[in-house]
Amino acid sequence: MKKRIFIYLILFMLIFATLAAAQNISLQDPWYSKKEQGKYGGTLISTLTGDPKTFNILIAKETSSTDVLAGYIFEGLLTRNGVTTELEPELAKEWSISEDGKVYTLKLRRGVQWSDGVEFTADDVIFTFDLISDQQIPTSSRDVMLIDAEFPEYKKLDKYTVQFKLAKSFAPFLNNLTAPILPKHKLYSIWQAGDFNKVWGINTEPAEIVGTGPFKLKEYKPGERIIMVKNNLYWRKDPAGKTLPYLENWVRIIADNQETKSLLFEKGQTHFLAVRGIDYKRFASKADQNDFTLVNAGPNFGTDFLIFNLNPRNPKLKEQPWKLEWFNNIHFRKAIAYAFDKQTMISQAMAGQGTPQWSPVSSPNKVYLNQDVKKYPFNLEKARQELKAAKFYWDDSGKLYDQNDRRVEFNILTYAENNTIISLMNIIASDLRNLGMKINASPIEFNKLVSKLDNEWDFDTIIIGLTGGVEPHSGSNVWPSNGHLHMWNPRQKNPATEWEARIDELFRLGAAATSIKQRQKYYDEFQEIIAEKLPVIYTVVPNSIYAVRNNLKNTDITAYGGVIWNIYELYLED
Amino acid sequence: MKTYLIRRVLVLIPLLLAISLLSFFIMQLSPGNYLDQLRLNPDISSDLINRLESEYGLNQNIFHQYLHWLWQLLHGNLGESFSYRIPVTEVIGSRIANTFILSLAAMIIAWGLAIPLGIYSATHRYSITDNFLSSFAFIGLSIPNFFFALILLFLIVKYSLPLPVSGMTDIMHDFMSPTEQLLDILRHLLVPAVVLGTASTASLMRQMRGQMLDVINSDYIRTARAKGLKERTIIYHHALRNALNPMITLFGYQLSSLLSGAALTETVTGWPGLGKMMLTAVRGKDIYLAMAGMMMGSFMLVIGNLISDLLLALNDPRIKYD
Amino acid sequence: MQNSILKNELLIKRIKSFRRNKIAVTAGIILIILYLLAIFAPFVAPYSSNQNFKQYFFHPPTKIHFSDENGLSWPYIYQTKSIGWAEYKSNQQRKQPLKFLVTGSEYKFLGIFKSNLHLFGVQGNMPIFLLGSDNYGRDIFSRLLFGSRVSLFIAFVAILISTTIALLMGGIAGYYGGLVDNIIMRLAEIVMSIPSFYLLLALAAVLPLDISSAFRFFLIVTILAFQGWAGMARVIRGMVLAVKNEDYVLAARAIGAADKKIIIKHILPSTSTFVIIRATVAIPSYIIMESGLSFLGLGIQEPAASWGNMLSSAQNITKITDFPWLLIPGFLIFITVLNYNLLGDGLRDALDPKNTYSV
Repeated sequence: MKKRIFIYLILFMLIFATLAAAQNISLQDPWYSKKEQGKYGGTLISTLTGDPKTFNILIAKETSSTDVLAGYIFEGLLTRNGVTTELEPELAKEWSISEDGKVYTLKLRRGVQWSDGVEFTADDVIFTFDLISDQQIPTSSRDVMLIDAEFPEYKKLDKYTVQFKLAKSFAPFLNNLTAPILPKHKLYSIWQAGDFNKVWGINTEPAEIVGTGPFKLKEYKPGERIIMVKNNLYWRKDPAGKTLPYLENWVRIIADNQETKSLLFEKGQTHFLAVRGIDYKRFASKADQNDFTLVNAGPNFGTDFLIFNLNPRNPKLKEQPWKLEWFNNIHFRKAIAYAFDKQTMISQAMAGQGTPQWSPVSSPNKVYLNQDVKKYPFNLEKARQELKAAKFYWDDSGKLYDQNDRRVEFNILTYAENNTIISLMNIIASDLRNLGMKINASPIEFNKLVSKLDNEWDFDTIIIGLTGGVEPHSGSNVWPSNGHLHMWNPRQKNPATEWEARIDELFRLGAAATSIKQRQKYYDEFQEIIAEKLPVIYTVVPNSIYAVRNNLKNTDITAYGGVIWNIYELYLED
Repeated sequence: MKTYLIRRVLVLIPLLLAISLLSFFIMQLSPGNYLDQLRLNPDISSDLINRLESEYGLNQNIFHQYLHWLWQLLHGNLGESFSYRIPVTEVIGSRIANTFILSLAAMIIAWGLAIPLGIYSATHRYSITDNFLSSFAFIGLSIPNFFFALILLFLIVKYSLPLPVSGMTDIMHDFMSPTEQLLDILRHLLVPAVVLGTASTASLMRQMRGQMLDVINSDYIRTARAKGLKERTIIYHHALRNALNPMITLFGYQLSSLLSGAALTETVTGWPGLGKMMLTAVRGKDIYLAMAGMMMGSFMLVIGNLISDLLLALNDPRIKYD
Repeated sequence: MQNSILKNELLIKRIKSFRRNKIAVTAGIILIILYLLAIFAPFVAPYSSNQNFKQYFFHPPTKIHFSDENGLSWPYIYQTKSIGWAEYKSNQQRKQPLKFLVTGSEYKFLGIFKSNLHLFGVQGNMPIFLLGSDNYGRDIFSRLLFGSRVSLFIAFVAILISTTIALLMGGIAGYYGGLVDNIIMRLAEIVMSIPSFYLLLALAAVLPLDISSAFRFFLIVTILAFQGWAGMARVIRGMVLAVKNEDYVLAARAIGAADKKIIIKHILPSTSTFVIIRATVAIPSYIIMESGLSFLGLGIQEPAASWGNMLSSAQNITKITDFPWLLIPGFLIFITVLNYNLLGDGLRDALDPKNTYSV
C-alpha cells in the first residue's frame, strides 16, 4: 500500500497568468466533449486504497473518503483541468474579478440538475458557504478561506449569479472556489437541526446522497467495494449532444494492499493500475501480450525530505546543546546535502523510476518550479570539505568529531508505514556513516512522528513527505515562520533568522500580487533561499506510472490528474 | 455442575471489566491521539483541532475518559467512532459476521485436518507418511500468513485458476440465486481460510500426535491390548478420548488468536473483516472503535474458555467441580 | 547413594535411547551447527551485515568456477557489470580467485576479541555474493548469518521465560485448586484475552527509540512471553488437575510428601511432553511473529538483519519472480522449524518416563 502521508496540501494552479487585472473567463455553455465520440454502456472497474469514512464531503478529512466523492459525485464552482492543471469553470460557467482584485462574480451554469432532478441554483452555493463558515462544522475548507482571519462576504445576486467580496486582494482565493457544492434541498433542515456533522455517514442509504457529478452512489459494501452508476441528469454532453458519461457503472474494489491491486489487474479484473517502480519491468514485459499499455506520466507531486531540528525549544537540548550548534551550522547542513546520493535512491528505492528534487516546489509544477536553485550533487569529498570548513575532524578510524571533541551522532526518524521512505532513510544513513557520523536510523509509528514534529520537538532529524500542489501559497502553513507546519522550528513569534524573515515577506507579497510574472519572481527567490539555507533537504520523487487496458478510451493520463480525472468522457470499447 | 456454571458466568463480569480497563490503558500508552493525523494537515487550524479535542473528550485525563466510556457502555452505548462519526456498532456490525465466517472456516480446516492427521501420525509413527505430513505441516508453520496468502494469490493469477483474488463476494453477487451466492462466498473464502487454517494446523497436529502417543503408551491401553481388544476399538474408543483432553483447553484460546491473527491475512486477501478495520483503528487511535473490537475479541475468548472448560468436564469424568 | 546411581543409569539409558533415534540426532546436530554459525557469524561472513555495494543491488548469486580452459583450477569468480536496472553480465576476461582466511572489515568476536579475519573472500574489486544481494547491494549470505543471531537466540529466551512462568502458575493452580486456582486462572484469562496483535501495536509505539533494534525486539519478545505463559498455564493446569487424582499422587500425598516435592517430582514430569512440544513449536512462531511485525515496520529494524525482516522485505511478486534468492531466509526458517520439531520428538521419546517401546 503506497501510503503517502495523510497530508494533502490542496492542489492549486497557474491560472493566475490570465489573472492580470479585471478579466472574464468563460467556457462553452453547454459543455461538449472535444474527445472522439464514444460508445455508451459498460462497467469500469478500478481499485480504492481504503474504505471511505464518510460520504459527507465537507467534513471528510481523509483521501480515502474524498477519492470516492470529489469530482465524481460532488462538483465545485471551478475545477482544475487534469492536463493543463489550470482552473476552469465547472458548475459556474464564467467568472470575473474586479480591478482591485477584491470582488469575484460568478455566473452559474443554467439547467444543471441534482441527481434527484431538483435544479441547481445560487441558493445551493450560498447554502454551501453558510456551511463552510459555520464554526460548528469541523471542515478543512474554512481555514483556507480566511484572509487575515476574516471569512469573505458572499451573496446571491440573482438565481444564477453569486458574488464574493474579499477584505484585500488575495490571488489564491480563486482556488477555494473548487470546494464541492452541496444540495440545499436535502440538507438545509438537517443543518438547522444541528445534525449536519452526523449526516451522510457511511451507513446512509445511497439514494439519499445527491450530487451534481457524473455518477451516483449505488451501493457500498464495507471493506469490499463501492458501486456507482451513471447520473442520467449530468450536464456535460458528448460531441453529438447526448448526456455523458458514457460509462453505465463504475465499480471500485477496496484493496488495501498494493500486491493485491497488482494481482487484480493482472487477472484482468480491473481496467487500470498505478504501478510501482519495482514492478515496472515486469509489467512492461507483459503489456503487449496482456493487451494493456504502460504510461509513464513523469514525477508526481509528492516531496520527501529530511528536516533538521533547528528549534531552540527542543527539550533534549538541555543534555545535548551541541546538536543545535551542528544543525545551525550551514556547512554541516551542506555537507549532509552533498551526501544525498540521489542516483542510488532512484535506482534502489524506486527501481530506476524517479527524478531528483532540489526545490520545495513539486517537480511537475512547470509554472513555479525554479530550475536554477543551488544543487548539491552527490560528492562525499565536497561533504568532507564542508565539514572541515566547520572545524569537524576525523580520528584514525575515520570517526567524525566536532571541534570540542564530541563524536558526531544523531537520529534520523521516519514513519514505519512506507517502505520507500524507509529505503531513502537507509541509503542516506549509510552514506552519512561513510562520513564518519554515528547515525541511529529508525522508522516509527506515524502518530508518534507527528507528535514529535508538532509539539514534542525532541527529534534530531526526520524524513517525511508532503503531497505538494501547484499553488505555492498552499504551503503557507509550512514555510512562513509562524506556520504550525514550519517543521524545523514551528510557530515562531518572530522569525529566528533573516532568511526566514525574508520568506515570510515573500509569501505575503506572493499572495497579494496579481500578475503571474510578479508571483513567479517572489516564489523563485523563496526556492533559492530554501536551497541555499537547507533547513530541509529534498530527496527524489517517484514517477507516476499507470498500466491501462487498451479498451479504455479517451484517456488523458497525467501525474496530476491520473487516469480518471475526465471519467465523464472515458468509454470502453468491446 | 449447574452452580459451577452460574458461578463461572458471574465471574465473567469482573473479568471483562478488568480486561477493558487494561486494554483501554494499553491503547493510551503510546503518545498522541486520533487528531494527530489532522495536525499535519496544513488546511486544518489548531482552533479546529482544539474544538474537536474537547468535542471528543480527548483533553480529559485517561481515567476520566475510561469512566465515561464505561458509563456509556453500561447504558448499552459503545460510543461513536471518531473517524466514521457514526456509532461504533454500525461500523463493526457488518464486519463481525464476516470475521466470524472466516474464523469458523479456518477452525474447521485446522481441526478437521489436525485431529485425523495427528492420530494417523501417532499410530504410524516414523513411517514415511508420518514424516511427510510433519514436513508438510512445518512448511505451513514456517511461512508467515501474509506471505503464504500472497503466494497462493500469485499462483491463482499465474495459472489462471477460476478463483477470486480479493474480497468476499463477486460484483454480480446480488444478482445470484441463494445457492450461487453461497458458492460465491465459499469460493472467496477458500484462500483466506486455508491460509489461516493451515497456520494452526501444524502446531495442533503436532500436539495431537504427541498426546496420542502419550496415551497409547500408557498402562491402561497396554492392558487393553493385552486383553486382545481390537486396535481400532482401543484407538478410537479409549485412547482418543483421553488424548483430546488437553486439546479441548486449546480450543478456547484458538478462538481469539484467530480473531487477532487474521488482520494481516485479511489485508492481503481483501476479506472485509474486523481485523483489517481494527488495524486501522488501533493505529489511528480511534479509541472507541478499537475498544469495541478488543472487547469483542475478549468476549469471544472468554466464552470460548468457558465452553472448553465445560467440554473438558464432560469429556473427563476425573475432573470434579464443586 | 543408591538412588543417585539409579538416576544415573536412567539418564544413561535415556541418552542411549535418544542417540538411537537417528533423525533426532541429525536434527540436533543441524541445530548446533546453526547456532555455531550464528556465534561465529562475523568470522564466517565475508562482509559485515550492512556493508552495501551500491552498484550491485539485486545481484544474483555469484557462480563459483572450479575449472578453466586448462582444466581443473583453484576456485574463482568472474567480475560482473551492470547492463540495465538490476541486470548483470559476467565479464569472462576478469577472474577473481577465491581466498580463505582473508582480512576484511573489523569486528569484535564474542564482543571481546578484535579481529578482521574472515573465513573466505575474493581477491579483487568484485564482491562475492554466495546467495545473491538485496536491494541495497548487501550480501545476503552475510546478512543471513547475522540475522540468525537475532532469530535463533531471542526466541529461545522468550520460550524460557514463558515456559517457566507457565509451569509455575499452571502447576500451582491445578494442584491447589480452589481460590488460588481461581485467581491464577482469571489472571491468565485477562492476560490472554487482550488480543496480542494489538497489544504489540500499542507497545511498539511506546518503546524508546535510541535502543538498539535487537534490544528493542528483545523487549517486545519478553512482553509477548509474559503474555504467552497464560495459554500454556491453562493447559498445564488441566493436566495437573487430571493427574493429581491418579493413584500415585494420592499415594505420595498419603505418606505425607511435601507439596513442593509432589508438584515437582510427580506432577510436572507428566506435563513434559506437552511442554517440550509446545516449546519446540513456539520457537519458530516467534521467528514468524517477528516477520509479521516487520511487515508492519515494527520488528527488527533495518539496517540490522533478522530472518523475519529479510523475508518480509521480499514480499512482492516482482521480487519473488525476478529475484527468487530473496526467499532464502524463508527456507532457513523452515529448516530451523523442522529441526526443532524433530529434535522435540526425539527428546520427548527419550525423556518420557513411560516410554518403553522405543528402547
